[in-house]
Amino acid sequence: MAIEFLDAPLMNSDYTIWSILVIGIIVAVGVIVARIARTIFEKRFAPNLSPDSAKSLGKLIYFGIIIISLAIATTSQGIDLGGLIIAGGFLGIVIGFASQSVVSNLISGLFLMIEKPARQGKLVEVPSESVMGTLIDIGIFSARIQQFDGTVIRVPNEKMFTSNIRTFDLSEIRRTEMVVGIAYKEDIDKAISVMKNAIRKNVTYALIEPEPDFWVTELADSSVNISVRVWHPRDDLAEVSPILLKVIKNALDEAGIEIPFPQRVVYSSKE
Amino acid sequence: MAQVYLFSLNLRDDNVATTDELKQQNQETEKFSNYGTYSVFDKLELKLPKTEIKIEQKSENQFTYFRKNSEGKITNKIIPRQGRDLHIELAPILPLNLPAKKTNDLMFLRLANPIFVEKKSKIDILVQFPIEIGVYIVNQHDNTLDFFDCFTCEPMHSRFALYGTPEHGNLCMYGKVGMADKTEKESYIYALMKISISNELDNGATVGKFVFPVTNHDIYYKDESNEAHIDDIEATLKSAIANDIVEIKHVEFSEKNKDWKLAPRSSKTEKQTFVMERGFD
Repeated sequence: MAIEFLDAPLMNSDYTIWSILVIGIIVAVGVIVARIARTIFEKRFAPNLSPDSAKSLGKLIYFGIIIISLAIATTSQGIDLGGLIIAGGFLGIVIGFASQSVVSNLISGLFLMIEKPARQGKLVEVPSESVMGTLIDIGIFSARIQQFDGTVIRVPNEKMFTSNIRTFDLSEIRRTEMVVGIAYKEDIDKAISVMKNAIRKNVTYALIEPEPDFWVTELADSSVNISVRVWHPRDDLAEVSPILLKVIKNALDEAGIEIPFPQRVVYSSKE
Repeated sequence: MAQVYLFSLNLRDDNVATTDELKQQNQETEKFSNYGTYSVFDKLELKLPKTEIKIEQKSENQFTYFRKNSEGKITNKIIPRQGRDLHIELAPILPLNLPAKKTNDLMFLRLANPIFVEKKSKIDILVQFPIEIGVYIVNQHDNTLDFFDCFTCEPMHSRFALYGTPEHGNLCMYGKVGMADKTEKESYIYALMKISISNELDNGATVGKFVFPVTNHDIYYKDESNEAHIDDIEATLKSAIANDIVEIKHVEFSEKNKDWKLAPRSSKTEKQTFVMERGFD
């Protein structure tokens, strides 16, 4: 009785409940196989690959097996995929207009996975989005970036793909730059010497070679501006940037070199 | 046939980053604690240049560790111990840990005064090699040494440098060093290292720096005199296609079996040889 019920045609079509059930079972088995395959891949092979490649290949294996199982399921039950494709074509146009950004993000995500403009776990900046932080991953539709305050920003793949991306991991070092103004009356060479010694002594992560650079960049309204450029290990911005100005200010104060604040001399006429 | 010179160096470079205060302190070396193994019963106090260490038994199962370093920073730790005495070892170690472990294994030695090597000749020089000091705890189960703490008596040695260009360079630990002689007494700050320089070039050359991997280097010390010596290197100046290079090879310390004690090493060997392709001046 139950078997007859399963063999009954579904809504006057050629397909039965049984055939739908078989498709469901095959797809479910496909999903299980895909998960097992992905787990085996992650445990055995992924450790030998770069994190980006491992994640991309893992996704390819997972979704590849599911798509193959879906194809096997439909063909085993005699479902004509040609009809589905034609129907899907029309439907695709309709959905395409409706979900343009989704498809765009999907395609951008695929290209980002192939191009790999930034590596997972590394520092990355997307200037157009004002986002800077550690790249967690690039997913199918979006990339996730953890900022320094601990929050996670989701950047759609399309924006990631079309934006300039700034990365820091090509070189082992990077440079921090700050501007210091000294009074016009002060000796520039002496000020540079004082700053150089202070950085060498107190900024532990500042590289000794190449040594810090000092460029006089501007004869400004109230001060002679000196650009201080300090090299340090790539990941140690937080060890240098917050203390650099403090160290320089203390050293200049100690040496009696004035750091002026903006001032304006007003002459009043006697008449 | 290469000419061989052996330098008898009485040179002492005053430009090396060693403060007068340190020199004065090192003249009083006998007041400082020796390298070697110590047993802690109730209390142990160790004194090193600009650094003091105190280990005390606070309860039957607990010791406290206190260290004040050369910059006045204080480190406190607790060492749980179950009914047995505490044994520690104080020993010189490779300078790769401070201020943080950033480099894989490269050391950049900048000579305070560059040295000129004549063509087709070989010279041996003895230099000061910056060291850190490690505190190890003897494991109560199998008597192996567990790395516990490290510090430096000369904070200016805990610095970094880049060998090469910012785009393609290697981050290294940095030390500005001078020539040394065998009566060197700054044994808490430097170990001695012999560098054999061979110049195979057709012209004389000035060498101002050596960059090489150090994780395969062992340090040896004498616990009575606190002398420290590290494995040596051989530097060969050669001509390559584009420029002149220096090939650096690790050489074991030749006197290591004569009353020297091997210091424990916690770093893993990374490389054996290194070629300085980005200049040596």
